[in-house]
Amino acid sequence: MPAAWRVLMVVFLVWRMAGQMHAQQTESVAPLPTLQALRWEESVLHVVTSGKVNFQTFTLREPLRAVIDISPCTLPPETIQPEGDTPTAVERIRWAQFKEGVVRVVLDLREETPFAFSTASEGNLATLALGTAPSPASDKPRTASTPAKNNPPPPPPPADLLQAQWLADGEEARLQMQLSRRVPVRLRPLKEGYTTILEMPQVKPGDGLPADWSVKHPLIEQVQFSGDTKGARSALVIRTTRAASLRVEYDKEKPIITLAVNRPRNAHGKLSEKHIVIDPGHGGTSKGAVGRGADGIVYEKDITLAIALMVRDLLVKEKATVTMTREDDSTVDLYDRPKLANEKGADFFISIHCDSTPKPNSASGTTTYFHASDPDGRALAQAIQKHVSAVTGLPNRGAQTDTAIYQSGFAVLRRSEMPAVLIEVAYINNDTDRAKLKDPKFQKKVAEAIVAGLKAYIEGEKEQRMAQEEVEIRPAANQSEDEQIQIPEPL
Amino acid sequence: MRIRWILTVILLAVLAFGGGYWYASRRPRLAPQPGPVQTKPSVVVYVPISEGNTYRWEAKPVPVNADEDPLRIALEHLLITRDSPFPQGTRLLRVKVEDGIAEVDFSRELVDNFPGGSTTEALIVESLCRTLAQFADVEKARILVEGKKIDTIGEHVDLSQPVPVRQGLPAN
Repeated sequence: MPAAWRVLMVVFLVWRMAGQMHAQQTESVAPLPTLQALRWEESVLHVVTSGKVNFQTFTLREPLRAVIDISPCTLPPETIQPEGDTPTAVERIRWAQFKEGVVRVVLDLREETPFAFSTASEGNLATLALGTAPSPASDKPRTASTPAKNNPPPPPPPADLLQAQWLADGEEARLQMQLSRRVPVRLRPLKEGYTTILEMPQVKPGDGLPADWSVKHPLIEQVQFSGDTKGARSALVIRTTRAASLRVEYDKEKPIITLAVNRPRNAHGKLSEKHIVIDPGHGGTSKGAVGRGADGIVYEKDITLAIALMVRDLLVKEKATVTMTREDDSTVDLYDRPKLANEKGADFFISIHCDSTPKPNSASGTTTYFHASDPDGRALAQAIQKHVSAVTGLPNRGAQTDTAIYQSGFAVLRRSEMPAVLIEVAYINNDTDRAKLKDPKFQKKVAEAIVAGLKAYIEGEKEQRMAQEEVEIRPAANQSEDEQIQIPEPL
Repeated sequence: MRIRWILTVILLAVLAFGGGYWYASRRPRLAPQPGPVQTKPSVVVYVPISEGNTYRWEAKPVPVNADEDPLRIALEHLLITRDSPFPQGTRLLRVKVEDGIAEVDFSRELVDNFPGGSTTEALIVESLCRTLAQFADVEKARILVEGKKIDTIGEHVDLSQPVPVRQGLPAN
């Protein structure tokens, strides 16, 4: 029966073919697992997918983010709504098809928050528990050139600011603040004149705080407190009547911080009694920043020298003692500059520079730098910045710590033993700034402003000098030179 | 007779197709098993993005192959990536980590092509430190140029001693 066999063969082949066609069809439409739900339970995030996937988690910084990569996975056609309340440590939660087959869930974290991550054996569920450090077993041993595992301590709860009161202590104004526990705070100058902000990022205002924070003191003009109970952040803005040294003292035993406001170092007497080291940046073989434009090339070293010589002449006219680190286009070692000032026992070190950025015309304006959190350097920078920024007609970038970008700061400020500043008059690789920098009239205005700022630091602002004559303030008690200043490093 | 024979074959074929399809569709539908996902270790490099008065640090991920040194890959990438603050043409010559200090040797262009400015210099050092800080075995960095120690790149930042790569968060 060959014919019947043939028929049976055909029937069988058609059967197989139909089965294969079905399989192919289902394969081609077989969807990747989808992200199905994001659910918060307190500080635990559950990530649910429709099928077995791999989860990978890691931390990214600047801004701080916890990332979960899910693969293979796609987003479902319908929109996902995260369930439950987002915990306070998380600013927001985002998710996206990061690339083909990978869905990325990102938690924007408000602060350094450790987390533990685990997946269910079915492979369709993962949990991320915030505030729990990963178990030591999951920590790979640290080997050479292996990216570090982020394993920060759990975030501490905010401290409560319980009490605050001004204490009269001779010429010094002291604001004592009692907290529920020790937390770091930071002082930062604001752009407007002698205004400084005490930032207390981990401090929640308590109930027993004064409604009015002001105090009657010749150094203090205005005090304003702002506290955010919900966000647990507080700040105190202090405006002083003149350049003042503000520093924070931490009590060794109790959670008490004291903000001490003083006349800064070498801010007594007259400008004519002072010895000032003026440091024109770069020189000789070190050209410094180079400004290039249609009008030719200009070197930082030439502009800094021109301004510095004008400052010297003005200070000599004021009968002050001046030492220059260079008076011509000679090469001076970077480290010899502060060394000279230290050896001479100078009262002030003023370094004059022009700034430059990686991209031309990306920045403009005037900045005065002080070292780290030195209270006297900050006061001097505020005084000089106030006067210089008033005459440049360029953006006021404020008095800034030299650790604003890079933590160790600038060599000349770090190594100077007296109040020291580095003035970045303007940006030489900005067309507007450069046109001004080259103009001798502009240079003269800047030089005059530097001297006016220095004078204001020593003798007070003009209007205040008049007020002083009327009120007759006692001379300050000598501040001990070896006093330990306990300012935290920037937060 | 022949026509009936053909009709029978067609009928059987249709039945067979339908039956086969029906049988296959009855089998449980299985989602394709995800194969093991190739996860490469990746590193990040930090570059400054100018934002008004200040700089924001952007972390850029860089894939690393299993046979490559992540530290070297990170540094090489840092020199050439978009928004890198490093001077044009700077090359990484050598890097070694010993006792927590990463000695990073750059080509002459780091100093020769340095365009100037305390901001640029601070951005270079900070981007290097931030990038190095992800490596657990690096505590400090020493910058060399063509094998020689340098005190500074552009006469602002003090590089006479190895610089710590980790820090309390800077002001911005």
